[in-house]
Amino acid sequence: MSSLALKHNIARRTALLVITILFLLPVAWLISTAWKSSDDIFSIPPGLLFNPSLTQFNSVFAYFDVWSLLRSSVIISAGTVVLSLLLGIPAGYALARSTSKAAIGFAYFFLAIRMVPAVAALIPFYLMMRDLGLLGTWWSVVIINTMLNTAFVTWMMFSYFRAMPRDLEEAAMTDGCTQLGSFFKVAIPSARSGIIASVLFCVMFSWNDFLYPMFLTRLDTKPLSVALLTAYGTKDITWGTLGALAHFSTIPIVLMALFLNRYFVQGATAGVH
Amino acid sequence: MTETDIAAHTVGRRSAGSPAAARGDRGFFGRQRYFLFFMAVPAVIYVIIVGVWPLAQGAWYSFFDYNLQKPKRTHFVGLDNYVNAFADSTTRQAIVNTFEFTIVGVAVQLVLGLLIALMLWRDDRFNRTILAFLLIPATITPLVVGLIFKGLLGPDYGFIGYYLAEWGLGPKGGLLADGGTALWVLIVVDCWEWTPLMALILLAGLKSLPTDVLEAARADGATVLQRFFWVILPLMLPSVFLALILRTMDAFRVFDTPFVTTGGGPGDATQTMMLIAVKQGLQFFNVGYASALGNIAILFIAIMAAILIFAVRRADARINGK
Amino acid sequence: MAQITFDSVSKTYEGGYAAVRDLDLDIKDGEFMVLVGPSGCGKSTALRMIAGLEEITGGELRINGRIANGLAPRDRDIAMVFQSYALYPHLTVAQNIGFGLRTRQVDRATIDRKVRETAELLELTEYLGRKPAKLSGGQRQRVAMGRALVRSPNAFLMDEPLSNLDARLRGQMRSEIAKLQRMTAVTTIYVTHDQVEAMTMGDRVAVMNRGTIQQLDTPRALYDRPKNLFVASFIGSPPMNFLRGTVEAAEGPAVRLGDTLLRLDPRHAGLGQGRPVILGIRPEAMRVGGDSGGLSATAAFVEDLGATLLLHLENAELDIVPPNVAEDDVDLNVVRPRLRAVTEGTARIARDEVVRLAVAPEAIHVFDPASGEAL
Repeated sequence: MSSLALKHNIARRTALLVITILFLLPVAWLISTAWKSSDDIFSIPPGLLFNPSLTQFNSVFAYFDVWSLLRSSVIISAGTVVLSLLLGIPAGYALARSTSKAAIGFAYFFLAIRMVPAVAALIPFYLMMRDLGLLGTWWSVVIINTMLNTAFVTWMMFSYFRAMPRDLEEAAMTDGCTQLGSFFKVAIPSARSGIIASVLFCVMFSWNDFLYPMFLTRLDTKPLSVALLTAYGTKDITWGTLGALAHFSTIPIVLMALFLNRYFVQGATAGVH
Repeated sequence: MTETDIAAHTVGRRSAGSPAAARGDRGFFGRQRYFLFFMAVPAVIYVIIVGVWPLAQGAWYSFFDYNLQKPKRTHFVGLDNYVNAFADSTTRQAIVNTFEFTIVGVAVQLVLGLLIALMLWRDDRFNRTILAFLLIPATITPLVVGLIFKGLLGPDYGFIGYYLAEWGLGPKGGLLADGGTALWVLIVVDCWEWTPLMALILLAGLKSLPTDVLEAARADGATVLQRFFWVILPLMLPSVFLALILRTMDAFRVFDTPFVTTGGGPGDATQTMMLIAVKQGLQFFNVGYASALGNIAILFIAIMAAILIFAVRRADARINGK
Repeated sequence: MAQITFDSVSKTYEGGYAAVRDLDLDIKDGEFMVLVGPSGCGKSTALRMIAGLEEITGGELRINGRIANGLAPRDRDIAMVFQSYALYPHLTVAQNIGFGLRTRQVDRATIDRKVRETAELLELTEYLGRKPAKLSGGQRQRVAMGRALVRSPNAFLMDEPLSNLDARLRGQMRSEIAKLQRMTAVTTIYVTHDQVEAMTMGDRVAVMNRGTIQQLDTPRALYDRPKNLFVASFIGSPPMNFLRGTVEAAEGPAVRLGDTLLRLDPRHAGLGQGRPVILGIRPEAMRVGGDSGGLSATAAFVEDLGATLLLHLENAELDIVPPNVAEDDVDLNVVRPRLRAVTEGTARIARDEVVRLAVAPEAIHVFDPASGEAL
């Protein structure tokens, strides 16, 4: 490279490194707080160096039934993912392959669901669940989560399938597949990365969401996200404990998005073009 | 039978009796249409039942004075809930705060995001890795984000807050305790959380620009700034507006983070529309009033989205010939 | 006006792929230089190196005597016409054409005047207010030309500007471009894979392959005196016929091909007896008919092109070498290579007819089979 271009490159990379470190400092603080002993956390002046200790994690397990919380989060997320994919993928495919003009209208309908603030439907939904006797169960959360995620998955698979040429499916059909057959044998395998991205986003949303679960679950069906909030209000819970709890409620998602970064990127830019 | 009889018999069978003809003219293409229809129907019905119906109910309730704790005293009040909303100073402050939060926050995220996107434009491993790490804030539970910054800014033990207090910078009691700075803190937190995502969307836009046109600009002698303002930015406008739409809709509905960071305080300084709506609906059980607030928010969002969509269309047309 | 020199210029990508290798080329001021060759030969890379769009990894590029390796495109004052036209989609035709002037802060009035003049020249005046999306392919191509013509740059660089046009338009634009270049007398470097364009438009043509120049000469010289097998097979359509044979110098230079003995031009007198050679004979040099002392072959396929007949001939006893101009060109003749001969359309030649072909000794090219060089 010419020397001027090289200098530009070094400057650019340095700037990016600095920016990234700045952005990650708060995350580092969270992680370090969870691994400090209580003395270190409340030391004055507060410092970054510490001896790693598991005290905070111990108190998390002492204060919370972590396994129950985990189980709830997992069940809610899994249920949401499965249902949203079952509903959303065929819908996205159908809208993308449809020749009717209403199809795009429906696609935008699903996109518009994002526009609605959660709270607007919360109480009517709460009452609906109460009347159905589903309050306090995982089902109530799964049902509402599925609605939002189906809209997202439909929109995402819609834009994904729309960009996918029909050639392969048409070849399959001339080779003897039915429409349904070509959907399963050709369209879905080709859409693998879009599906993975959908799964990632569904899990992220369900795991992180707390407003609806807070009102729809009871003690034994509470997921991690709600526990975090109720813990915050409690007197005995310290920053350290919260940090440790956050490791269960947040770090898995962070790691998932980091390793599946390619799919995260795809999902985030879905349909933007 | 004679040969002619057999021939006539065969011809007749072929033209009139085949199953496809019996079904009318639908055949394969008709089946295809039904197939696609039924693939989409479950999702549409589900979303309508679980989503649109409660929303409609909520909209209905907004015209009533309906409190869950006193259900028997429900009565129709027409637009009173809406009028009261604008009459109430707390709600007005919340509306102002929400707009300020949204507009300033999204604007800052746009500029910073664009800068970062421009730096990440080349596709190499370093950039991909940086982007992956930069996106971490966007994946953290918003609730946890709130807690992180509350912890960091606390003047007693917070890493940032302690030193600020020590050096006498910022208000006593920390940045979050002062009405003048609290909203700004929330804006900064929102930028911290979402600027990388904005950068990602803008980066996708940059990468979709036609490379030969950019080379032509270089060959035509355009400087870096000229290329940016005369070629890149105009061609990027549709992406920019789309990113703005997504972020504006999300920023306006913000709840989790301010809920845990300031809870609306101090006083009403960081009250947002969603915070008030949730408080009214789930704390005081004023379902009617809360629904009205929700609907007002939807209206504001719809207006902003409509303006931005119009801008996207205009920019798109400008690029692809009027 | 510019004189451009490549001095041992190379372009090697990370990973080792060398697109251009030690290129030496001297382009005279005002010259119309054509770079021609199969895809991947490095011609576009060489052009982009002049423009400043590709970084040079070895050697020196000099424009008007000054080393230009590190100069930005803006400072080289060149104008480029892209294969895809690369028009600014959000600007009108007028704004597209005037862009290169606007970047150099020419005043508004001058820009308007020059744009109008250029538009008139290219018959684009009525489209000045339109955007590229509303133009036809031919119109877009002219706008791309206009963008270059409106300035008076050091050089015009054209990267296969006509390849996206249909055949008829291409022919029209060829003469237009040549005319404009003569009119403006600006140094022009023109890249193409089409040897017809190269032959009809260039003052000098550089035939390139695999990153190096195979031969640099006038079109006539390339046709009459190709330096090696590659140039011989690349220039001329239909491609030259190649036959393997051995030299028999008993009664003057001649080459034995199976049963036939072909006399060579006296200038080949120095070839040693028994030396293996490859003969090159152009299809248009083969005369159908003639009595003895020539080749005979069976017409496997006759293409009636109207004015001419293109005969595809076979003779199992002749060792015919299939032309392999570009490696990705799958030659269907490889299994049973054929000779090609061109004769008048009025000749009556039927399939499977045995035909006698006579060749004048001056029209026979001789090549060394090992090196490919002309002898």
